[in-house]
Amino acid sequence: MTGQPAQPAQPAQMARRADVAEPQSAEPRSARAQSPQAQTRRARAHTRAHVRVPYVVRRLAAFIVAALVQSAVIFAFLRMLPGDAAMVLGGTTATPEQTARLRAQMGLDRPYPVQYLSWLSDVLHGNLGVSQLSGKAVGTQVGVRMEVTLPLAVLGLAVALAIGIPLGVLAVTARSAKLRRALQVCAIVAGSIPALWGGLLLVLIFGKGVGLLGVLPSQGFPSGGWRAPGRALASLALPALSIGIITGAQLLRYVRSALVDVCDTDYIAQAMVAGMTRAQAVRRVGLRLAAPQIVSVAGIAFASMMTGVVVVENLFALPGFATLLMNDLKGRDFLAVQSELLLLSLLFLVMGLVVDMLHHALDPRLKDAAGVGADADGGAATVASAAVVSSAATSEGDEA
Amino acid sequence: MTHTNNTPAQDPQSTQDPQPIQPFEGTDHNASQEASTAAASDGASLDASLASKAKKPHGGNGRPWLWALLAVIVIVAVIVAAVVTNSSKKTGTSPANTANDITLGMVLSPTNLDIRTQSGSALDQLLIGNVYEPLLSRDSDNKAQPGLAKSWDVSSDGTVYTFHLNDGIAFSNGDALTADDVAWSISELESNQYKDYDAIAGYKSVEATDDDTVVLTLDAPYSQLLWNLTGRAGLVFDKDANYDAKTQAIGSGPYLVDSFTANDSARLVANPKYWGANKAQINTVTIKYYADSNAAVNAISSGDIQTLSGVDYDSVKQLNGKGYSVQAGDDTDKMVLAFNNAKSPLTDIRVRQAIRYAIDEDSIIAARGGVDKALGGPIPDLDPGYEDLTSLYPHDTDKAKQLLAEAGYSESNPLKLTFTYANIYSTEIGDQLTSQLADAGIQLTVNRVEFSAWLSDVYTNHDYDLSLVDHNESHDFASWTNPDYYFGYNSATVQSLYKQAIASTDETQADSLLAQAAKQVSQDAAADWLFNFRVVSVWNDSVKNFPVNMNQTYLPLWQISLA
Repeated sequence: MTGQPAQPAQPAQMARRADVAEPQSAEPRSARAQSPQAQTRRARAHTRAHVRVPYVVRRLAAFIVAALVQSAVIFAFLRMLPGDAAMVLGGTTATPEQTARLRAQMGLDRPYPVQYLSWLSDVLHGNLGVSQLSGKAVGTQVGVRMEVTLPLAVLGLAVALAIGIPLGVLAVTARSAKLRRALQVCAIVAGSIPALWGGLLLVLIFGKGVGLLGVLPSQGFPSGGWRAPGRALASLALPALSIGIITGAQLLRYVRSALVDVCDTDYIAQAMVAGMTRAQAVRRVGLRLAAPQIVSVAGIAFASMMTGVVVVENLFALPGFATLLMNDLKGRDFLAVQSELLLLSLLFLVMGLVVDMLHHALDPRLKDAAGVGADADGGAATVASAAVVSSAATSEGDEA
Repeated sequence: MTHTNNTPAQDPQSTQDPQPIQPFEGTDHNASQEASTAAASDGASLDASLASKAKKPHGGNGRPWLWALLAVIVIVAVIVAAVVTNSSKKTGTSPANTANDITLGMVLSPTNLDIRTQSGSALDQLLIGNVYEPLLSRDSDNKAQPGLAKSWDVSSDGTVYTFHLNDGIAFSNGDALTADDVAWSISELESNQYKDYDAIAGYKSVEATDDDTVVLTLDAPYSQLLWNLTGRAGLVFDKDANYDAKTQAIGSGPYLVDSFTANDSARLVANPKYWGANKAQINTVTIKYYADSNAAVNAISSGDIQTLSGVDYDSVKQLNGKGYSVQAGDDTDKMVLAFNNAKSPLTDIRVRQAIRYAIDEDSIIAARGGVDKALGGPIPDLDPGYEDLTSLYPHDTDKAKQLLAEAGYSESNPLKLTFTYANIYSTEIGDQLTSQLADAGIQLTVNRVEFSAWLSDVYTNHDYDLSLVDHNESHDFASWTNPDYYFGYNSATVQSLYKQAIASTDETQADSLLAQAAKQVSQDAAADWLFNFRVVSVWNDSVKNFPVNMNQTYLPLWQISLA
């Protein structure tokens, strides 16, 4: 440590002071040491101008490292599964020679490190590969399937939020203890319905040709896709409801418990001192304070829907992404599965960013804390939760 | 060095910067003070939000249940609007009932269109006779009849087959189909060991002697050849066409592949250049594949599809007579409880016999809706060499126990076996077998695994005692003559009988030799044949001539018409 010049120290320094974007980090250190005042000013100027950039860059860097590790782990774990694409292709009539021939044709007889590196280099060149089973480009296939699964998850989340947040608030603010209790019980019951069962029930009620009301398509997705937007949307209605109701019930419980936690803090008391009723305080101050947590949970729920909807996709015969992934896995099309999982983790990254950005938008406390590490968030939260209280209190005062 | 440089850089920030983030230690009072300083110094943004908040009219935060109600109303409204537009469109065109459009429902989907390498009968069902045509075709009794070849001659020693092609055959891309294409297809099949290359046993050479004549020469006579040429081994491909066989198909059949998505759907359209007599009567045929049988039944009940094949009888029987017909078709599917004949304790014939006596096939068939046929041996009634062998091992638990006792098993030392089957088969049948064998004192350890895991563990590595497989191939008796097949059954008698049968040039003699071989296999209790699976089809009464028999491997779409 002592013998080395500044170079090795620099990354550590950058990491610790990551909030301060320093394009001119080559600047002589002595200058910095000499004038801490000037440096702070500059740092603050940078904080204002660049605060998001290094943050995003850091997130990306972390993601790339994670993706590399992930890709190796995925690759290795897939190879532990019994069977390969050549066997599945050959089925129950293949002779060992035929299987060996197919294996060689598909390059499955190469050593694993060679297979891994060749896949990795393809991916780095933007080529996600061609599915060994279907012969179609993996990227295109995923794109087509996402046209079903992404809207399905968005609709499901919309239903979940529409159910979870208002009822979650009601479960805290309702005057009637019976209502509060009933909501809690409903949430537990609805949240633990298996998706398959819930979906079947919805089909029995609303399914066209089979249900009591018979208004919504019970399965299938129009072959033209979104070129027939009405039909496409209608075919997603029941699947989205069956996901949304279950997720919404889980969200309800989450919102309720987050709000109960907030209620125990002094912010609510302070808000009530400022003239709000308890219900108003919960809705205006409590919900706002709990918002980042709720957004996080909703984000996780959304991301997990990408693969979690497989039961619903099967039940409603929707050609979605989750089904594709499961079928490729069943068919041991490892090349396709690898690339699909990689795309999925990209999507998770984007979701993470969206959640973070939403946090920033929802929580003024984070505006100042943007660049600081996660450890500082707790402090930031405390600092500015009071600001929320005071802002809410101000508006309350004005109304009065 | 690092320290001295770092600390000053760090310090001023925390001590002098007025808007930093400090760990939460203070009280509320403290915090709100901090906040107000923050607000004051940071100024604009927070103030603006405060200001906008302050100006918000009352009622911005309404009652939550109102919001919930509103949200639900909006969603319902959107959906209802969508449905209304959807149904108004439907009444306009009503695709279900026009003569040019039909949608068929199936359960098993092919993975891709490359019929030369991809296994699975779903691909035969989709392409053979519809898109690709074989040299010979088959009738509903599973017998070979003219196809691309209008006639053929066989030399007296049974080794030289001369096929005469029809005139004016063309591929869908406009290329003429000549004897060259036939010879090329067969020689490619053999040299690349494509799927079913072994269906031309003793292949020696193939040659196009002129545009309409193909001569196929074998080393030795092979009585199965003609039937085999009605399947994959007889398909004729365009020698000059260059296309991706996994995603496209260029054949000479009455239909073209318009689009195909594995596990979802295939869309076929009539081939305008079709040469022969089997002209398509319906212009567009869509086949939808349903992984979930509930979805499939809902689809036919709601009119989204007009036919459905391959689901349980019980799930569709209520549709019979209500505008639909429900019928089980004859098929060559053999639901086999496979024994690992090469592995102890199943090397002991008494153990295998005990299992056969212990199983009550009739109750299994009854539990499945009673449509399947009993099957006592390896050859079903649509294949040559069939004989009713169901009386060889009637259900007799006492006999089973007695045989087990002879083999050295008792209640204190029960026979324990593993039972490994793929999760494409329902648990009901596995559970039923487990309980029937338990009655005879045989304990099963059940592993229900993925099909690919089954292929690896059971099919390739032979690591199993009992397994359950639906062998749907027709004319597949040869697997009992291959000791390396996963059955591990090795009988010199059977192998010799089979050899004689396929070498025989006399059909009756060949059939009786096959029947003897099949009886031997069944007597040896090489497996237990649970039943001859019959595929249940449902169709809307507007659909005429839907092929019911063997439609899982051969589905001539050109026969289908709409009333």
